[in-house]
Amino acid sequence: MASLVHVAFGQIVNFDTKITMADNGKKTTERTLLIQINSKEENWLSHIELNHSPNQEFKLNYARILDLKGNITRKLKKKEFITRNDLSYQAFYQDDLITEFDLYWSEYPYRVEYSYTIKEEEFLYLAWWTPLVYTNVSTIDALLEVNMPADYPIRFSASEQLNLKESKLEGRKILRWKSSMTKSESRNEIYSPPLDFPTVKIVPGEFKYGVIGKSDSWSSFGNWADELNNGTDQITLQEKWTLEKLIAGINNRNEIIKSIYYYLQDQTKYVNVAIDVGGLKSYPASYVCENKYGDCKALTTYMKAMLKSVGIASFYTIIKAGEENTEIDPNFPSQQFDHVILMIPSETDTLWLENTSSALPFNYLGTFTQNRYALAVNGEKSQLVKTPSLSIDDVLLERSYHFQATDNNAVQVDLDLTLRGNEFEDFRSFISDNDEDRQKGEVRRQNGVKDFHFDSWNIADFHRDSTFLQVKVEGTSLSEIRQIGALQVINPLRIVLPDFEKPKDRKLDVAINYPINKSDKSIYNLQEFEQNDIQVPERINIKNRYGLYSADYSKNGNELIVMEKFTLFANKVPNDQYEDFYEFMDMIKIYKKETAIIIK
Amino acid sequence: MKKLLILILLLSQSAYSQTLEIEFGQITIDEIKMKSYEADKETKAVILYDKGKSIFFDSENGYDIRFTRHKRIKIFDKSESEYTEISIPYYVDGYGKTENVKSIEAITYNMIDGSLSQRRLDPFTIYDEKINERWHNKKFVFPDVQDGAILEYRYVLETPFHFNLPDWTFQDKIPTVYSEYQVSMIPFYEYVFLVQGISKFDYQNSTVANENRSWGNVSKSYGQNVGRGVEFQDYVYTYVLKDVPAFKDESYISSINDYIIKMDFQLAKFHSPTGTTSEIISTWSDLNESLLKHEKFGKYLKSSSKFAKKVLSEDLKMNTESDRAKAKRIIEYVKSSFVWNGSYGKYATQSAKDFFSKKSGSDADINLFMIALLNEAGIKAEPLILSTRNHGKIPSDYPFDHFTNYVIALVNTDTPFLADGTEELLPYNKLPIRCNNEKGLIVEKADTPRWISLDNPVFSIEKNIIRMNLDTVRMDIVAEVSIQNTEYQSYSARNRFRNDSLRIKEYYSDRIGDISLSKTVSYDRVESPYSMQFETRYETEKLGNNVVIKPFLKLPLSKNNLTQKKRAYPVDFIYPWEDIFESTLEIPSNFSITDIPDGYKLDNDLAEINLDYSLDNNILIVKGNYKFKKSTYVANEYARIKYYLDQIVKEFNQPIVLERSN
Repeated sequence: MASLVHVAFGQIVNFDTKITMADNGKKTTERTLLIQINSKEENWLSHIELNHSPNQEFKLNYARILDLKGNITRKLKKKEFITRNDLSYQAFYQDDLITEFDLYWSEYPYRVEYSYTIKEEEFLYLAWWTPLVYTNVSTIDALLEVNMPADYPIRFSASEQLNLKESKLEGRKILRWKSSMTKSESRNEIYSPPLDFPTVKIVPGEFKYGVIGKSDSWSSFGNWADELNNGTDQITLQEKWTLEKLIAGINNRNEIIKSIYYYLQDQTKYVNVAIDVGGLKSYPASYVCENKYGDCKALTTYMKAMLKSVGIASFYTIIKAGEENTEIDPNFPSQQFDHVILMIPSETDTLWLENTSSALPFNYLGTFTQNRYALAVNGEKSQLVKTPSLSIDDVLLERSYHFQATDNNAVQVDLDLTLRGNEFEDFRSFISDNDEDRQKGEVRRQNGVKDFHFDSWNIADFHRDSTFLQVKVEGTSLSEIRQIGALQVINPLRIVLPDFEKPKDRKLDVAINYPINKSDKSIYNLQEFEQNDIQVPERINIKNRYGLYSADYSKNGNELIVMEKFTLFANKVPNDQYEDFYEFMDMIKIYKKETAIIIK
Repeated sequence: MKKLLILILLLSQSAYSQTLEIEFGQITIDEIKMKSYEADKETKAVILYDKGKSIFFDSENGYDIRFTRHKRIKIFDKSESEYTEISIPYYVDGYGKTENVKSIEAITYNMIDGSLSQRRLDPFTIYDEKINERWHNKKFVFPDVQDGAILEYRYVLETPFHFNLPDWTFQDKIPTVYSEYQVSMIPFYEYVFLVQGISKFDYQNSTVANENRSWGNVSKSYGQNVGRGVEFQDYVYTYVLKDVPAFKDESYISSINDYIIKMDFQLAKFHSPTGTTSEIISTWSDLNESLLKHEKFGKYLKSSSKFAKKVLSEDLKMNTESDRAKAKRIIEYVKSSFVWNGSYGKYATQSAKDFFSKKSGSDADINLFMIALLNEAGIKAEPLILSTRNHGKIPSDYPFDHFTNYVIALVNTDTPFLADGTEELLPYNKLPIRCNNEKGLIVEKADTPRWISLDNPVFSIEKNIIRMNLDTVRMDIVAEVSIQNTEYQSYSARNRFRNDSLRIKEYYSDRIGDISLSKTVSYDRVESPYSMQFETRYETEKLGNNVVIKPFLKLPLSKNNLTQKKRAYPVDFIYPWEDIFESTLEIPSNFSITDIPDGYKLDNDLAEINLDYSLDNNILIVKGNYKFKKSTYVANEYARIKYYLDQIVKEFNQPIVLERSN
């Protein structure tokens, strides 16, 4: 009998990155990696994919297999690697390339060593380096060396644990950062913050990327982004007439913006074709006028251009999107973004538009871009701005149930479901896609009743501007009232809590980027059981700095009313306070587990 | 129903309907005004017209094939991106021959404010995407797609590969109003074809083309050709289907390829202009013969024998063990030394030397080399070709080369067995699940083809043994749980967990509670069952003085995945399977069991279900099993199978209640 072992990963034994800036401004990056593979399970490490772009000059210098003594066992031949397009699901087409090859061996351990060079004239970063090649594989030794003319202006930001060694030689400056034993990290703990590995970021004082620019401040970096897209915000004459007709008779500024936004949503489609200038330059608005599709840049430029044509100023705003991992370094002006939205300032309130979705309401950013820094591009006046955050009320998920026991052991269920936040966004996109299966799947997921059989469901009072969605559901459940031995049991608390790890298993901080807020009301008509003894649990009400939980039971004639509420605030909980946080969650969990309505 | 139609027979058939010819760029007012498709009102789009045309045209290499496609689609809902974003794949053989996609034209039509607008595709927005060494895509997006739009495109694909006469699929995931395929044959190439999914076309016709063509030097004297060349006319075959419903995918089907309405072509004969005829493929025996002569199959086996000999003497050092033992050692050596790169095919993709050096290759590289090793060791092994599950079933009446896509070994020891060298976690004599697809053909010199069944009749069993005690202080269950998997269940567990304690705990903690200790048995001995043993604490449901206990914890099936009311296709479980449960619970002296549920019993030709409760002094013993006796159930057995699964979910998850007596 063998005891279980957690399968250990192979290691990156050596990872050298040498960057040389020529006097003519051309950058050469040479990377050399030595990887040790200890078992067949780790063979995935010998499948190598190297990313580059058509604007770069890429050369695979060598690739080979070594034994542990350093003897070459096999060399990669020229015909054994291929270069293909990067086939990401994110884009319909992109011109980025991947050179890939395999170097497997069958005697373990073995090592794979390869080296490649990338030469480029246009770049935003001199280096964006971390000692890890894969987040789940540790690196033993890593080196970043930057060799550049002594007077080449740069700015850099380096993690504290990395030491810089600087030297000068024959009019050139050499910067070196070394790292040893950088450990990989697993991120399968829920609500964990973004990865925080040692990093060195170096940007040139002045760069050419499409156009010449600087990034010594957010203003200058924004100015570069503005220049890059200069002249793209012009729409066709035909489109101008269309817009004039569209807004004829509307006097309110916000209503004009809304009409144009809905026009954008109805007429265009999000399709990502990532080509040229590293996917940073927008297609012109006129392209979207004609083709009615584009990526986030093109659709935002188009929206901006349409507003401009009716005299409304707006700002192309670049942002890092996603529900998690949303932070940028505000002290290091540089390209740290992957999405574009539109900001429209006004005297009373700033409007925010997400232009890639035909599903979302007007002036709704949602979980994808809420509460974070973004760069509003406005020439020299470009600046970091903060997007609005979702409040507790914005994300409240409400469920109101009415249960009625029937003759055949089944319980008739009427449910009013009110979706907000992430669930609202998902459902709106299923509506927009006309995808009934996914709508039904979401209703099934959200209804919270065991063994639920739908009779019908429908969306009530749909309104495009609404930031919530109401769904009426009717059906039956065979196990809402369970027969357990001689008892009949109802488990009325159906709010599902996030399943946080036990303190002994939790290694990371907790990062909750937007609140969780749920409220259930369940009304049971228990007329059928009026002769029985009905035992109702104790009520509970917990409130602390992490959130709230309450459960309450009351009777109204033959009706038993159960209220359950759970709120978890947007929060950051350091790991040393996790036990306290977990106690809060555990208290609720234990209460819920031991709570049931018993009918004798 | 499948039906083979040999081209030559069709010449005598007459037309009983007409084809539909539409002009590119000319849509009708009815098409643009169409609000929904009558036969399928829910559909988000409908193919109005899809016509393919293949002809042989004169080229530098003699004749190449030119395939022209013209398609018109009505979009009711523009979110349907599968039909607005187009990819046209084409093949590059890596030796200088390539398919060529050209003349792409696309138009979007919209009705705007009562007038029709047209937007043509800008040719600069057609992208060429390289997917891998052999395949590229031409890609484009239809411009200005609005709800109600009509999308129309056409393109030409020219191919020098005569084996690749384009097939035609009449059915799609959206309905098709009109689908037509027209093939113009020249007398030098004879194809046979297979139609799947229908018994009759709405229209089919064959005619002789008016145009006179010639091959070689034709010179006329008194109207007669006296040159060495040949004069000929094309035979034009036309097939039409109308109002084809959308193909609706269902869970547990073997492959969409087994059911969608389509037409496959296979080059059968080459009639040389000089008068001789060479049969390309006419029978499975002929196919075998051609495989045995093929440079990357039969000849590859021969050429790799020298290298295999070297490997045998240097790496394997065979001694005087039995043939079975030798074969086992060779197969296990192959499994541990080489990595399958995920590619399917019958033909070797590299030389044995390169393969040995790269340690990685396709199924053909691995298994043909393994056969060479076996033969060189004096064990007679033969290749066996098959079609993997995702590739569809082989219609064995029709010897089409492309119906098979994988090769394994038939090892003729005292008891012959089938072997595959691509999966290390399977025993040496067990095939990967992808190979369990009806039957395979032994590639050998023989007049009569020999087919071998690939179905696996052996039951895969999961046996769960649970010994439970009630912790009377915390009122939770403390249990020892043993889970043993056999056959494919053991492969599946080995593959899923890779013996990684974290993965195992993550998977089972939801099912058996908080695991304090876990051990596994026989992960490396792949011929043996794979077992896991746990010590665990399972939180019970407490109701006052009552404790609710699930005798099998959460190990039994908890959800019936068969949710559809009706079923059009068979339910394919891949192999017969059984889950067995044995649970004991010692009832503490101050507790009593309030009610013991009734058991359950069912046994028939399809399934067996047993559930039995008994009380032996203070020990509650619960035993049960459910067994699905067939690997595949036909569509009319669906309702019964669905009902059995419902019963299993209900009965095996039923709790018992212990009541504290003081």
